[in-house]
Amino acid sequence: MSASALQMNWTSVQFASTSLSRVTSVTFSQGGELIEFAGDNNRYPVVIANNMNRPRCSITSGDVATLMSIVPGTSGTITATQNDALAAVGGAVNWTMSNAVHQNTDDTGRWGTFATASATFRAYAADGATNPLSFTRS
Amino acid sequence: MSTIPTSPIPDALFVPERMKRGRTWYERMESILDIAEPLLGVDRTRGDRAYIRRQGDGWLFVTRDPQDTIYFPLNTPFRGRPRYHWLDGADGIRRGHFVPEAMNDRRESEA
Repeated sequence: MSASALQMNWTSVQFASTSLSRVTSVTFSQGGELIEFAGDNNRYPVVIANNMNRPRCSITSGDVATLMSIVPGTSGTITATQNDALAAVGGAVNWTMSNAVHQNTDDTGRWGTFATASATFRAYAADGATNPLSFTRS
Repeated sequence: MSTIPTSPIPDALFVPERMKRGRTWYERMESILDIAEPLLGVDRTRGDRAYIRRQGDGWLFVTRDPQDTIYFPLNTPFRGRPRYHWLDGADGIRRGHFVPEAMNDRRESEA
């Protein structure tokens, strides 16, 4: 079966040496930022430029204890596999975020629902130029 | 001292984003990997993969190791210097070969 070209659900999610299970959501963001220029009697921006990108990642899991145990400021590599929607061999996407730094974890629990924790990460470029977020097919 | 790369297999590629083909994100990614993996000598049966990074300037930086960087990391003695000698291919793809210092780093990390 060929790849469906649709992705669904996550496996093999890991931060540094910590394997993360019961993952319900992963978000990778390019983190693009824009600055706008206006002058004279402009009422709208006349130039919009992308000067900086701040890649980030968010992971939500039912394994609250593991995510809460990660200390803010801890750095490492995040890897995660986004499966093919129809489980086709070779259809999954492997994400790698190098130089990820744990920012914070929030624990959420409402009455009558499973508790989850969401951890947020930022990533830096070791050389200041290379995008720390990469991907490939499995 | 400059050196002339002799390895036929490059260590990195800059692939123009315009070479992407396909309708979905997965198809576009696959179209780049279909080009890049043979050029990089990726043997998928051994678990090798080629990793794509969108650089945002119209180029995709592709290597076999997701930890590779275009320049030496800022916390190294060679900070900011290029890690590759770049050769422009007639196909529009730039091929990068490790400079000696980068090759030494790679050997040490693999030892």
